[in-house]
Amino acid sequence: MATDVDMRVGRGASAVLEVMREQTRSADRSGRRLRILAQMEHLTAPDARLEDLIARELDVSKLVDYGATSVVCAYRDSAWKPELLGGVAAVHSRVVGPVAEAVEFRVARSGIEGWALVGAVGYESAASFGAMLRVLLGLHAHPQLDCTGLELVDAAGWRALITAVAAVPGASLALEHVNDTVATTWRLSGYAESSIPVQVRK
Amino acid sequence: MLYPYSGREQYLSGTLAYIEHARDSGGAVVIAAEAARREQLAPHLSDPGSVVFIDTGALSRSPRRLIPAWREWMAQFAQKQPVYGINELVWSGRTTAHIGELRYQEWLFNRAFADAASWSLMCPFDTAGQQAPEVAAVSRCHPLLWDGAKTVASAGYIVGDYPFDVLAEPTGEVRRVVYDLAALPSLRDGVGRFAAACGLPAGRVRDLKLVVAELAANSIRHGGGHGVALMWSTGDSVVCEFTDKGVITEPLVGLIRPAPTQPGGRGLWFVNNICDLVEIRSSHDMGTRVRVSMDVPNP
Repeated sequence: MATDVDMRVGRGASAVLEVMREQTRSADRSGRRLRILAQMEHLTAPDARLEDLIARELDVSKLVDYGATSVVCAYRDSAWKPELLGGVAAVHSRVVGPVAEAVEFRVARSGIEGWALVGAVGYESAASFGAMLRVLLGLHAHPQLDCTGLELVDAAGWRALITAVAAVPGASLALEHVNDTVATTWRLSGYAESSIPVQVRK
Repeated sequence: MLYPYSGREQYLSGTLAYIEHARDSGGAVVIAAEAARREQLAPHLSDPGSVVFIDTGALSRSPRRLIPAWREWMAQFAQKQPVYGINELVWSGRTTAHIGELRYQEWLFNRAFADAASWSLMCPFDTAGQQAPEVAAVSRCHPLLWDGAKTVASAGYIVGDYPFDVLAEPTGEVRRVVYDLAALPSLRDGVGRFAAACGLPAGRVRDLKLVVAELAANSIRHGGGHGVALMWSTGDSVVCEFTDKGVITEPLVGLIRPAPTQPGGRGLWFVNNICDLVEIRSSHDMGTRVRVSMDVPNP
């Protein structure tokens, strides 16, 4: 059974999200599990900054905590800039459509409080990586990323990470279960000897 | 300075004389060599505990890791007294490309430590079995020679631009890929698949993909936005070469550990520390070629 949420212009994204949370809770209480399809141009202006879009994405993804079994964020190709779609794709565990092959790293929920970072963070995705981390650090001051599925982080990626953590006062970041390549580049980078609170552990 | 010697006895006499000279000058002695040298030298030293031995067995595999290593040792040992170093590389059993890069790194030592006031470095070089042109080529990389008892000037020391060896032509099947920003992920993955098929272990394949990421990104940022990658196998190693229109003017780039507070400048530093061999040729006329090799272990 499909349920439409009222998204008439003027209600505002926060109000729409609250309605979605309430619908999800209500369905959960009555023993139903929802599958949510979010038309993202109704929740965020297509000219928004990447950080704003990622933040909205993470808001939507939290609906899983309220009882939804799955959330699909839909983007109409013609409404969004390609670089925004490439960046925001990184916060989804699965991507289908034209940008799917452009996504080299992803951050996805892992368990109740955790996050997992998978893929490769290279020069081409460093800006998206930094934007994603800034949003994540805004939500959780001390996130831990499970990096079991992380292949590599290049110099641009490490720089984006360090810059993101340094930009959020009081925040820290931990990368857990990294492979030898990631651990080696982190050691070589020398950032561990700076005052920026980042922990990288195998 | 270079110490050209022939055979074990001449090695011992000249090296021990240099150590005595260092002690007479009030200096600390640091010997970076393969572990066997400790056993050969220690019995002849009056106070072996005062000499620092550093085993370079793993380190000497990659020529571009030597200058950074000596910078660290210098920072560690040169605090209170001048340092007299002995830097012994293993020249035998190396490929022509490897020997060419070793020579260049020895030449670069003089530039890398030009500002170090209390510093002397002696590089033993066994001439037994070496052709005269090779001995002469190594001698030209040093401004001074150790003759076993004192320093003398090295005739023909290279002043000005270094005359690089011409890079050898690729062997066997060569794959060629033109890349730009959008192609970086597929370039990494393509090189990774090629290297795995050539027998490189999984961890080193990942390392090579990281190296590809750095060098191709340099082409995007500094080399005109695109470049050409070649990859081939020699049987003993997987080789990748990246060509673009950029120019590297600083020969020590990637050989000095970036300060923790320095935001960028780590790409070539990673590459130099991860690869088994890195060869760089760069000029305003030809642009930049960076050739990297990863050794394939014997089955």
